Amino acid sequence: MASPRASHLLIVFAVSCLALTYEVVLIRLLTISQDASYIGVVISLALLGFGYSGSFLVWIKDRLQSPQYFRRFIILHIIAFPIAIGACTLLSIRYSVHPGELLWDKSLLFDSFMAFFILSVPFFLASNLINATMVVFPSGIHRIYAFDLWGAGLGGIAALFLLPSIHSDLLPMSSYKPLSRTRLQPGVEELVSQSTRHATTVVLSSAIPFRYAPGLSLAHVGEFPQQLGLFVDGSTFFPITANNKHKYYLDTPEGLFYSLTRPVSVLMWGLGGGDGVRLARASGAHRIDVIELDPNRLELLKTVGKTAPPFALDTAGVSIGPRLAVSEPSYDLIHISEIGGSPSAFQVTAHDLLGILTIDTMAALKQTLKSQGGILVSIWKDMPPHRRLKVESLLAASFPNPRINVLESLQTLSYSVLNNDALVTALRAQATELGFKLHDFNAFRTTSSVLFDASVPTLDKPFISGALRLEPLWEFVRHGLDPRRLPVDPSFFLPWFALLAALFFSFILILLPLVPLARERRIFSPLLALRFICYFTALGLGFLWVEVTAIQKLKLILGQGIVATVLMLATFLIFAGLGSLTAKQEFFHRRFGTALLFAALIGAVIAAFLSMNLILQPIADIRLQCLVAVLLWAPAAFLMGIPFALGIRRLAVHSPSLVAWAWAINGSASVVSAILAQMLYPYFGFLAVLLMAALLYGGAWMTVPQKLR
Amino acid sequence: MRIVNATQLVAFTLIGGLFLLKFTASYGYKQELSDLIQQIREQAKATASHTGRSKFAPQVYKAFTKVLRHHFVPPKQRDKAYADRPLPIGYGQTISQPFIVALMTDLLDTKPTDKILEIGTGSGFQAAILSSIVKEVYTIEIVKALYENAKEIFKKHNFTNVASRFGDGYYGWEEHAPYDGIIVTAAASHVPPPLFAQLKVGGRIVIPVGHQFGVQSLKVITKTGPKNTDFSAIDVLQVRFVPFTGNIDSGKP
Repeated sequence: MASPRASHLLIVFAVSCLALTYEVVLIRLLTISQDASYIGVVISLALLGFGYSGSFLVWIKDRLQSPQYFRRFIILHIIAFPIAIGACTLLSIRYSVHPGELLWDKSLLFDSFMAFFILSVPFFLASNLINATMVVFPSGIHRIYAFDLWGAGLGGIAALFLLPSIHSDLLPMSSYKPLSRTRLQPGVEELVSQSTRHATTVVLSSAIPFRYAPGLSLAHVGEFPQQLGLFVDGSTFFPITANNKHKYYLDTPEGLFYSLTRPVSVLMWGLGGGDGVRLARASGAHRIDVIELDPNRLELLKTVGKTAPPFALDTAGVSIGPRLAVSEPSYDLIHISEIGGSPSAFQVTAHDLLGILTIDTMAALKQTLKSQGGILVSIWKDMPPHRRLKVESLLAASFPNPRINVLESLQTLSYSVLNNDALVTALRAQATELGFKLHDFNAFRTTSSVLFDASVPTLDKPFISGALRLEPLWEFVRHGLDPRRLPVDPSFFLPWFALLAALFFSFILILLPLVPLARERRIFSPLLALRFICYFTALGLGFLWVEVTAIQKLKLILGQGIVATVLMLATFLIFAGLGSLTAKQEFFHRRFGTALLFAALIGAVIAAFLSMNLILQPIADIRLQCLVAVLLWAPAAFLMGIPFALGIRRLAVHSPSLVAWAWAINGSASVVSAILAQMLYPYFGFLAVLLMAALLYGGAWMTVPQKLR
Repeated sequence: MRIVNATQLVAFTLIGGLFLLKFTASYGYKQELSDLIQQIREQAKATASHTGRSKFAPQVYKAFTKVLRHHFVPPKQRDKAYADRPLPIGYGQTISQPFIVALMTDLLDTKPTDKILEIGTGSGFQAAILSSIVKEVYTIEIVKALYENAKEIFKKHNFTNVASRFGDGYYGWEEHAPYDGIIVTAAASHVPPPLFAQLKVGGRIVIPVGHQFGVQSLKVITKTGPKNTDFSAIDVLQVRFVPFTGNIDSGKP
């Protein structure tokens, strides 16, 4: 069989398309139904299915050369793949484990392993189809690879249109999720639910009152108003408070600040369940602009008002959008409140507003503040320490000559910036009456914790991360893995757990095929084998690091997580597919051509990344930003598609039996790379990870096996 | 001459067997209980830098030997009754980790004459522990099934100084106020002002405060004067009331 037929290429295209659609949809499904911090781990490990497909095919590659066997193999997989998607997704739900409980009960590791194994089966089957086609048609390998990438690119785009049809009842929800815990209580009724590509939102009423009022003064007198619960993706909770005379929120630190400053125009960071708007309204605000990542939230709250009139929100003068719409001084108050959602362990979610806050955003916000305007930032006292450090670092860096005061309630901290001494004096007096403490910011702020050191969040390094700190790991091991002695939140250990598991499986998957290959004496030499391992590992790591960095950076710029992810995935896959078609060019097989390719690739990647800040950031229109992002990354993606196709094509010519093995190496490295990237970029910043990826590509060039140069 | 006849032999064997069975069974949990108390002692030492207490009052440990935790956990969870971990009791609720029960009890700094109010009866274990070291315990539960279950356990095991009520604990139990201490065993976003108002001057409230679905801080707030704003507060420990649902998914215990 010399060359693949159109039908083969079409099958590869369709299977890749379905596999990536499934992957994106699965991420959303698991985000809704499972614990957020666990999803990244399961998805990363499930992608190992691509890796062990390569190892598997090494064992059956000779049988695949028989046309009958190959035909049966393809038909079987075409039938099994879609069935596995449905069956494995449903089955994996049985093995949902909360990271906290995993630490208490080590036997649940088996359940985690099962979840990984089950979810990897569809990816294994998809990869078998693609990989087997490559093994059987080595001369057409670059075309097969191109159709694989194009299919995956289209699959990502298709997923974007499927996401709105995913709602919270599609899969049984883990009983660890706040929404399902609430549903277990008696007297719970679902009032409104909404699914968009950004989020699934459910609003519940409950016979057991939510009574969500962080910061409420002990001096507060009166009934507590009724509340509804708004749950985003089954996890993040916001209250919706009834409109009546019992305005509890006026007796909170935020309420005190509003009643003193009486802002007429307010910029609010996050809409939540609309209680911030209620507070601003009660204090006399007429114009309320809200930066909100979920464009449908306001409509949802209007629907809630129609269904349950006491909870109707007065939306006159309220506008929402994902970004700042003005640049001139317009606001009397900028209000950033974190007393709402529970952030994900993987830090950047579509709804994580604090995640996208950087020193650059703060500078832009300051420009919109009137000369006598104030800033109010409220957080939980017991929020994860890196988030408190982030808020404090941002404030300290944004107001070098600080007029910052900290209002401390029993549960919350409210940082206020006031340019009026009389207001500060009044704040001090009334705070005492309500039982709040007023602190000087510089004396009060923290600069480090067990895991984190303070640094100023920038567009390049927007997070304060302790992902690579070894002290907590060491402490945990020193105490015999006793969960009661955990120095940090259990979710800290998940990326480490995922990394160790991925490394273990990768090691096995890469080495296992060497047994039959050595027996057949098909490896040229151990040194050459090592060069192959290094080459395909470097490419697997490098490609994913560049891709993940570009996705995360675009998320930050667009503020639209799912759009940024799909757009970058599709760009990388489609243009890498085009690039792979050029791998047959003789030019790239010459020593000079290979060197030029890798040099151009590294240059294009760094140029694309740096252009994101220079060109993309200043553009106001989001659609134009998307288009420019595609144009910026297309050349780099094109070039990044060539080395793998180049390597595997030459490998196919020299030793077709090693093609499947190379696929296993690259697949396994990609999984390790995805997990590592999640730990590296929050810790070192985007540019550092990108430079590491550039080094890896440089390393790949240096390890190109001599016979391939 | 026979010392015993066949009937007597059967009777002795039966009684002896039953005694042996009871002795073995009681030895089983007694050993586990002893291990649990030892674990609580060690845990108290390990967390002393946060809690300020390297050991708890002797009456707290004694209460754990009198009040048997396996009476309060659902049958499915009995084998884990003496593990130092929280356990599911249905309706999205849990019976707290024994160390946390011991710590919260100790933080109340009770006297034998005290009157304590508990918000969130749950399984009834915390109220039962308190009942063995103070004079009166009042406890309120908002989930009716849990209230009924706990009430039955109190009656069955003769916790006569515990009065329980089905209702909303946010507003306390005014008829019996003021209290020497109040203990809240469910996560709350804030300290309920009406509850604090029912505390005697000098009394303390022990309460986990924070996001209901996230991390909470276990706080001890002492009332220092007649007004509700007269208080001093200390943060003792970060806690997380993780839902350990295990096999209970339906909400039924």
